[in-house]
Amino acid sequence: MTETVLAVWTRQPLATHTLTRRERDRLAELPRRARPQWLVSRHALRVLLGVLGLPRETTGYAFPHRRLSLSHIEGAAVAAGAVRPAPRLAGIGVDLETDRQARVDTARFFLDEHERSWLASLPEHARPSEQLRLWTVKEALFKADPDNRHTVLLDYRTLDASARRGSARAGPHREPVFGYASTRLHGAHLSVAAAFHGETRTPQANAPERETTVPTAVTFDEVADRISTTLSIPVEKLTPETTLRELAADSFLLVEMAVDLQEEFDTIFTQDELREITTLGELAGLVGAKV
Amino acid sequence: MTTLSENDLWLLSFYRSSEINGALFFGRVARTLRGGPLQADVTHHFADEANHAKYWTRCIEDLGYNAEKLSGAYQDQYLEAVGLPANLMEVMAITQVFEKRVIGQYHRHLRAPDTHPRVRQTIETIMEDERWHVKYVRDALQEMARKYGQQLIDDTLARFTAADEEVYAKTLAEYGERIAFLGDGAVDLSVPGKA
Repeated sequence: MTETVLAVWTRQPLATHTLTRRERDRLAELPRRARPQWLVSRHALRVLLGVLGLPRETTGYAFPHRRLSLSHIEGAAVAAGAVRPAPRLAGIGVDLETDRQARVDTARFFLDEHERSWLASLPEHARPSEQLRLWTVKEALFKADPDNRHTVLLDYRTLDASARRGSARAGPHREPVFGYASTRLHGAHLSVAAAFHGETRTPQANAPERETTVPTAVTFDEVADRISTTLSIPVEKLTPETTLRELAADSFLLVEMAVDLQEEFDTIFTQDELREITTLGELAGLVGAKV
Repeated sequence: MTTLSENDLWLLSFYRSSEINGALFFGRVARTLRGGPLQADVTHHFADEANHAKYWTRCIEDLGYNAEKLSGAYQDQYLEAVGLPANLMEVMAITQVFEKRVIGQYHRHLRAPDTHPRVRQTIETIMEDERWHVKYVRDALQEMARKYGQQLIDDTLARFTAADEEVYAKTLAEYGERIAFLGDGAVDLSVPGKA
């Protein structure tokens, strides 16, 4: 089972003048200190929804969601979504954690014996980071599981704890089965997981990478940097809401921009795809989805 | 001073203007490309187009006239019909379609009776470059088959060729009387500027 998952990461809050009435109401209900982070999360979600072609009213989505997931850390957020959800997709989960010193003795609360054994086999200096990565994997698996009301992180077991892309199960025989992937992103561990119903074969630890969930790690900032260079526009003026029409004095500038991004990220856009793109955030999402 | 009809002067000015637009187009493509053979070829192409505009400017001056300033670009009509090229393969496919029409147009002009020797000389000089343009663009598209797939390239060429014919028909309807002197009923008004 293959599922392509797009992850949108940002540190920028959603501009309040772009909020819908329902979003403004939701924001007003929050404690003042929680509002900046909420706006950053909504920003990631708004861009993702645009790229996926889903309605952009962010209050219309409740989590856990079969196709979408959100995670945030101080000042940053990531939204992940299945690009073309397979019929057997049961849920998506994403988790983001910045580097920090994890206490080794906490591993027993979320890693099983095999996972802890593998962790212990690592050089001492490498263990905290790997432990944190596995934490994000377990969090992503938990979020992806539509039936997680009675489970804890320890119930989710990776087939190979060392794998950056792999399979997992919640208990020895239970469905769903999971695919997950982890990557590094701006000094943080990012993990994305997908849960599938009706999987009959047992995923193998050495399964080809293409059979696991693959998160995309092209960030808006990377795309904005390229566009800033191509169009000679200060990068700080580029936001995910910036429209392509604002940027391009003439239509061929869009061609220059598109060709440059494809060259930089080694991907191919089609006319149909570009026709759907109106903002830089959507363009960044397209790059991420294609890479 | 040679006597040029209004239509003669318009057509030579049209060639010049189209070459300028071609130079601007390829200059921008050249600016976008990464280092490599294609970057070198497209940069060469960009310089050729600018030179062609210079040849036409001098040709018109040698005949005792100044080139007319023409507004509007054929390129805009073309891109409106085919849509903006979305990737490098589409840029090269558009170029190939244009090159074919350019060569056809210049050949027709050479066959027209009473073509002034200075005009003939200019077209023949330009045609030397055009042959190379066709070759390098064809080679580039062949090379791109590994990345884009031959079928997609063939489909794109077919799509752009159809659009080219549409724009050609539209342009012919607008300017056909200006080039009727070129001869046969199937006169092919095309654009030497390639894009």
